[in-house]
Amino acid sequence: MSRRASNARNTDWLTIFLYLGLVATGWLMIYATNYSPDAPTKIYDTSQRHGNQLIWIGISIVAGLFAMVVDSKFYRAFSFPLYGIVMLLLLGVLLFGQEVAGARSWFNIGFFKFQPSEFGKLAACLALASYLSRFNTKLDDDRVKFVALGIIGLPMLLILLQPDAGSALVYTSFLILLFREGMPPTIYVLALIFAIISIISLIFPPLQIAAVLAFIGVQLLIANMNSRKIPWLLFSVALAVAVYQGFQYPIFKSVVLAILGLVLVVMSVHIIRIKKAKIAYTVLIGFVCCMGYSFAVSYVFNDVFQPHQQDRINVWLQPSKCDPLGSLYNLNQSKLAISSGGLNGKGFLDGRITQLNYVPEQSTDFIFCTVGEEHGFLGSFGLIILFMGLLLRIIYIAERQRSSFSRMYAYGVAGVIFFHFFINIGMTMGLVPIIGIPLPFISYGGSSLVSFTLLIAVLIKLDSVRMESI
Amino acid sequence: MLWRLYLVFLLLVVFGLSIFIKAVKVQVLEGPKWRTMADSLYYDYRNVKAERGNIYTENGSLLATSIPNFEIRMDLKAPGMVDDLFTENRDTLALCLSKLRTGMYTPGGYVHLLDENRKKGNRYTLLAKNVTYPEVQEIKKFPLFNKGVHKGGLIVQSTSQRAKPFKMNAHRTIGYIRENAQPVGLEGAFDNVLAGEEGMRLMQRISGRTWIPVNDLTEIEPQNGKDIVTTLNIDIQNATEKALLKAIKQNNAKYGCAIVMEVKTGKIRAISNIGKTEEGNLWETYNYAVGVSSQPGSTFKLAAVMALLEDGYVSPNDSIFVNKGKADFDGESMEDSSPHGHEYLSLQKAFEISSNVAIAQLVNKNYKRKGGAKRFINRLKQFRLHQQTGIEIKGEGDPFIKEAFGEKWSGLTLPWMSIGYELELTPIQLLTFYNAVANDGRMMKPYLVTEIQDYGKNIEKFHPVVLNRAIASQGTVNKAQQMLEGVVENGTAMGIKTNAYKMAGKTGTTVTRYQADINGKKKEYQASFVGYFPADKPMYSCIVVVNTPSNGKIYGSQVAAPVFREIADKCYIKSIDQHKAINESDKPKLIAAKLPSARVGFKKDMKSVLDYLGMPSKVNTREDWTYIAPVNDTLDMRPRLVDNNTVPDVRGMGLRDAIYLLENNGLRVQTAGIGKVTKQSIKPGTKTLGQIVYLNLN
Repeated sequence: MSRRASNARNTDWLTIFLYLGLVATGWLMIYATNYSPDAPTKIYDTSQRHGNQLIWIGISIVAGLFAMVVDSKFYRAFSFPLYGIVMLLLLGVLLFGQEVAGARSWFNIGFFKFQPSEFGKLAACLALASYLSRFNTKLDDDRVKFVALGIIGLPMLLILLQPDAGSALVYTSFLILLFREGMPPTIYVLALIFAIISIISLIFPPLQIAAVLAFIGVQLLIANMNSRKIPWLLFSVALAVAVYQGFQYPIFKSVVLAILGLVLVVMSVHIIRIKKAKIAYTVLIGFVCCMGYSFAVSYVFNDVFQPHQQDRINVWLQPSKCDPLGSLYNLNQSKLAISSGGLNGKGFLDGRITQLNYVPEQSTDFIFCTVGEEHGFLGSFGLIILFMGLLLRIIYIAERQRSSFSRMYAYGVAGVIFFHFFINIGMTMGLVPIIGIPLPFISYGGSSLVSFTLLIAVLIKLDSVRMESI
Repeated sequence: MLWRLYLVFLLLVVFGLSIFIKAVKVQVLEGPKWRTMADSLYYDYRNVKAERGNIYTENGSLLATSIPNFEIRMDLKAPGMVDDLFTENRDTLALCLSKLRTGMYTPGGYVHLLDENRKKGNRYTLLAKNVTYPEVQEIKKFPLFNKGVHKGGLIVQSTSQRAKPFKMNAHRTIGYIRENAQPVGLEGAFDNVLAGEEGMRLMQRISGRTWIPVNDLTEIEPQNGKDIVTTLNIDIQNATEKALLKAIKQNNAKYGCAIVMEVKTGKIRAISNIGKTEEGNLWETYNYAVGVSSQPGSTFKLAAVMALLEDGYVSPNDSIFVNKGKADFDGESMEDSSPHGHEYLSLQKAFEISSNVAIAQLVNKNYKRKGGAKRFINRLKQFRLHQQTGIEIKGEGDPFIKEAFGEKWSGLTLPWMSIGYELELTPIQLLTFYNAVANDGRMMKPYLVTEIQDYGKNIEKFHPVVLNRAIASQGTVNKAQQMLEGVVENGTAMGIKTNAYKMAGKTGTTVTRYQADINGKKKEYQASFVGYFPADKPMYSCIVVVNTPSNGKIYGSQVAAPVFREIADKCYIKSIDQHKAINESDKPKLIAAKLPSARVGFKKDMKSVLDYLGMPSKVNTREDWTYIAPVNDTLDMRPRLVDNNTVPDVRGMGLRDAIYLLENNGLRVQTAGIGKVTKQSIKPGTKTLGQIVYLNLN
C-alpha cells in the first residue's frame, strides 16, 4: 500500500464533513443576515458580504489543502520559527497596523486586510505542543510551567496592547491543553476560587462578602474544634441571623461586622491554644487574602474600568440594573432575535429582526441570532450538536495519537474552538459577558475562517500520519 | 492521567450542555417573555398623522393647503458609522449643513453638535427644520449621508405646515387650528372634515420618547382629510380687500369689514376684515363681519320704513312734516345729521336724504299706541332681524332687538330704534336682510362652503337655504327697492352713481362716542354702506363697515360708499352675464366707412385672408395685384395694374409685396419704419433704370 493511499485512508473524513457542514451553514447564515427582501442580491454577489465569504471559503480550502500537502514533520520542526514570525507580525501590527474602532488589529495590504492575532492561535498551539513534547519536558518542572505559560502569555500580551481583550482571552483556552498534559490541579482550583470571588465581588458589596467569608471561616474553625461544637454551631448560626438582620439597617452594618470579626479572632485564638495553629492561620490568611482580593476587584471595577467595560460586566451579571435602552439594548435585541424564532424558526431569509440590523455586528459576532431567528430552537440545537460533534471528534482524535506532539496540538485546537464556540454563543444569550470574538467557521471574516481552517487542516494532516513511525 | 481526560471530556460536555440549557431557556421558556417585551418596549403601533384637506375658492384656487416640510435628524450611533468614517466626513458634513437655507449653526457649531451627540450616543439628533423636498434630495447627497442609512444615519421626518397662498385674503374666515387656541373660521368649523383620520404604523423606540417607523408598510393607512370648496371668489375677494384696505388707510380707521353676497343664493363671494395688529400693521385680526354686533344706524331705517309700509301706515309719496330736521321725543331732541330747510318731505325723499326726524316721527306716531310697539317688534322679527344667520363659522354675534316694553324699554326706544340705535346687528345679519330685499323678499342663508370633495370627487354638496320665503309683501319689497335706488340716484349716495349700471343701497353713520371728552378724545363714528347691484337685476349685495374713521371724513356716503362702488365696479366688469353679448343684438351692418380700404396686395393672399376673417368680398379682376374697395357691405377687389418697365405703385402694400414687385423690376429698395408703405421716393410710372427706391413705412 502506497503511503499516499494509506494517508487517504487514514484521513479523518468525519472531521472534514463536520468542517464543511459548519462552513456551508455559516455562508448561508451570512447570506440570510445581509439579505434584504426589498433588494435581494444573489448569494454569489461578491460586492456583498456573502459573496466575499464565498471567496474566503475558496481561499481557505486551497490553504487547507496546501497545509495537508506539506510534510507532517514540517509543523513540529518549524513550529518555533513560525511562532517567531507571527509574534513579529503581532509586534508589527502595533506599529504599522490600521486603527479600526480604537484598536490596531489589522494589517491593510491594499486589496485585503488581515488580522495576525487569528494566526497567533495556530502558531502558539504548534509551539506549545512542540515545546511540551520535547524529551524530558514535564509540567511538574516549574521551569517548564513557566516557559509553557510564557508561550501562551507573549501573544496574549501583544494582543492586549492592541487592545483586543476578547482575542487575548482566547489564549486562556490553552489551559485545557496544559491540564490534560499534567498541570497541577491546585492552580486550577485556586483560579476557580478567585474567579468565583471576582464574580461575587462584582455583584455584592464588599461588606456583605466579608460577612459571608467570615461566616465560612467560623464554620471551618468550628469543624476543627475538639469539643462543644454544637453550642458553637448554634451560636454562629444565631450570629449569622443577627448579621443578616443587622444588614437591613445600615447603622448596624459595621457593628455586626465588628462582632463577627471579633468572634473570628476569639475562635482563632482558641484554636491556636488547642494546638491547631496551622489551621487557624490558614483560615485567617485565607480570609484576609480573599477579602483583599475582593476589595481589589471591586476597586479595579469601579475606579479603573472604563464605563463601557463596566457596562459589559453589569449587562452580564446584573441585567436588571441596566438601562434596557442603553447598555442592555444590544443583548436584549440579540435575545429578542434568538427567541423570536420559537421552536421552528421563521424560515430561511425570513428573519426580519436580524435583516433590519437591530442586532449589532450581525454577520460577525452575533451571527448566532440569525440561526435562532430563522431556524428556531431546532436550528440552534442542530448547530450546537455540530460543534459538540466536532469538539468530541477532535478529543477522540487527540487520544488516538501515538505522537504526544500531535495529541497536544489536537487538545490545543479543541480548546481554541471550544472557547470561541462557548463564549460566542453564550454571549448572544447572556450566559457570558459580551466578548467580541467570532463563531468559528460561521462568522463573516477571512482571517478567522482561514486560521480555523488551517488549525483543522494541520490536525487532519497530523492525524493522517499517526500510523507512521514516531 | 486518564482522569484528566475524563475531566476535560466532562468539562466539554457540561459547558456544551449549559449552552444548550441556556438556549432552551431563552427560546422556549422565556420566549413569550421576550416576545412580549419586544412588543411593549421596542415596538408599538403609533398614530400616523393624516394629511389635512385643502380649502378652495369656488373655482378651485387654493385658499389653504398643507405644504410638506421635513425635519432632518441623524442617528449618530448608526450601526455602520465607524469612527474612521465619521471623523473623515464630519467636517465636510458640518459645512454642508451650515450652508442649508434653514441651517441652525455655523460649520464649527455643527462639528461640535455632531461630536457631542456622537459621544452621548444620540440616535435622533436634530440637524435642521423646515426643509423642503428638493432640499432633502440634496441633503441625501451630503458626505456621510450618501453612504446609506446604515452608515450615514440620516433620518428624514416629514411634518407639514399650513399655508395660505393668498396671504391676508379672507385670512380670518379661512381661519386656523392651533394648539391651546380656539379653532377659528372654516378650518375650525370643518375641522372634522379637513383633519381626516389618523392611521397606525409599527414604530420602533430608539430612545426615550422617540419613535421611528420600522418599515415602509403602514398597518392602517391614515385617511387623508377631505377638501372643502368655498363660495369665495378670489377676484371679488381681492377687489374687496383692496378697496377696503385703501379706505381704512385713507381714513385712518380703527377697523373695517366688507362682505359680498350673491343675491339669489346667499353665497358669500368675498369677506374681508381688516384691523390693526398690536404692532400697528393692518391685518385680518378679527372677523368683525361675523362676530361683532353693533348699532347699525341709518342703514336700519330700511327695516323701519318696511314695517310702516307693511302695516300700510304710509306710502312713499306721503308728505311728512319734518320741521326743518328737528324733533323732540320725551324731552330728548333729535336732528337730521345734515341741516336742511324743508318743512315737509315725501317719505321717498326723506329716506333718500336719510332724515332721522321723518322716520322716527312716523314710527313713533304709528307704533306708540298700546300694542303698537309689539307690532313694530314683530315686524322686525318677521324680517328675521332677531336671529343669527347660522353661517358655518363659529362666533357669530347675537343680534339684539329689545322686546316691546321689556327690559330697558323707554319712551326714547321706539324713535331711536327706527333710526338704528338701541339695537345691535352684525354686518352679516344686516346684509342678509338687505339681500332679501334685493332678492324680492326671499331671504337666503349666507353660506361659505358649497362642497366637500375627496381628490376632486364630490362627497357632499351644500345647496342654498331659504330662511324666509317672503319677509314682506311684494308691494312693500318693491317700494323698498325703489327707495334704495333713490338713495343712489338722488340721495346721500349720489356720489357713487354711475351710468354703467344702477345701484341701490343705504348709507349709515353711527355715532359710537357721543361727546368729545376732557381727554381730548373726539366724537367717534362708524360709517357704513349696504346695498346691492345692479339695481334692476340684482346680482350681488354688499355691506361695507368702517369703524372710527379719523381723517375728517365720517359719513357712510364719504367713507363706506366709495368702497362699495369700487367692489361693485369690479364685480360688474367680471360678470360676463351682466354685459350684452355682441351677437345678442341685430347683426351689425358693415358700413362702408368702417371697412378696411386702400389695402393693396397679391390677389390670392388677400382673398384667403378676407375669407378667413369671414368678410364678404368679390373678385372683380384677373390681375394678380389688387386693391380692395368697400361697396355697401362687401369688399370689391379691383385691379392694380403693374407694368414691367415702369416703377409700380406700391403704396398701401406690405413690405414683402413691395420688395417683390420693385426688385423684380430691377430696382433696389431701402426702407424706414414699420407697417404699410405710405411713401415711395420715385413716382409710379417712372422708367426703371436700376434706381434705389426709398420706402417709408407707417
